Amino acid sequence: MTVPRVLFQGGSGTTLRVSLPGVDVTTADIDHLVFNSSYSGLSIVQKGSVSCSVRGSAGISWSTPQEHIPWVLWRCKFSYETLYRGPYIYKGLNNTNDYIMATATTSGMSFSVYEPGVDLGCIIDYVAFKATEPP
Amino acid sequence: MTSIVLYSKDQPNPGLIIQVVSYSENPMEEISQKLTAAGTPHILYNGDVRIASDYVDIDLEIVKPRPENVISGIPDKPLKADGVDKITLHPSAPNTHVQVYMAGTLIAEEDVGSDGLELSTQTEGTYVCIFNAPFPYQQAVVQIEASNEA
Repeated sequence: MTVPRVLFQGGSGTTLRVSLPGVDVTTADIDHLVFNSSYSGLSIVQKGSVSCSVRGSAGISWSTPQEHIPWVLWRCKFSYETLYRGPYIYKGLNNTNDYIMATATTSGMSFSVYEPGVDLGCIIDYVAFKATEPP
Repeated sequence: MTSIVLYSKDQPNPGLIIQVVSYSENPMEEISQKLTAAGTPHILYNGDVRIASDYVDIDLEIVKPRPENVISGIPDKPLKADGVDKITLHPSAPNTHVQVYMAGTLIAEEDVGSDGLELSTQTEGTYVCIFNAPFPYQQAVVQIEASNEA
């Protein structure tokens, strides 16, 4: 039996969805969709790496000021460790704990790291996604 | 893939990579122009950049791998924590400074010459030895386990 797999709906519930083969798109849940326009809004503002001294901070700037504070996914690795800590996900001001902090704004982001008794630096990898609304 | 590599021109680490921008919603050339106007040392580089293990050759304006400081003498079994059993770790790089951490606390440090770092202990635990040689050598990290059961 043929089932509809593409739904293009206007009005207040505007959406575009595509379901898996054999699954009716009008009744498919999220696990049975290959595309859902409701979840396709994340575009990357910037990604990269930055080195941060412990007891210090590191700052990055977005290449152009953002209308809203981006979502940022980041992880860090201390010099003496082989594994990364994180990832951490932030939107706007937030902390993970007393020692690994990040602050994102519409113009950039700053990281600060403090590890008790350790004066070694760390590496931070980050990806910033465009936000479509205020935090 | 073109990346922007921001680096330090200052001593003691000229060429140390501070930041890598590997993707931006704006053209890399446009960002580079802004950095140039701001006087920020950087290069546009085609290829993968590893922030911790690469550096910028300032004269050639290219990214190069930092040489490794290879540590020999790493035991394949735990050190016996009896104050008698002893290991010696030898770095390949000259003028290496070693810091030894235990549970995140610095417990010893010294400049290591040709004799290497001798390590013996009566305290069980994990000892993290961090070898720092003059730039551009990479930092080397060796973990030594000490146990009464060794």
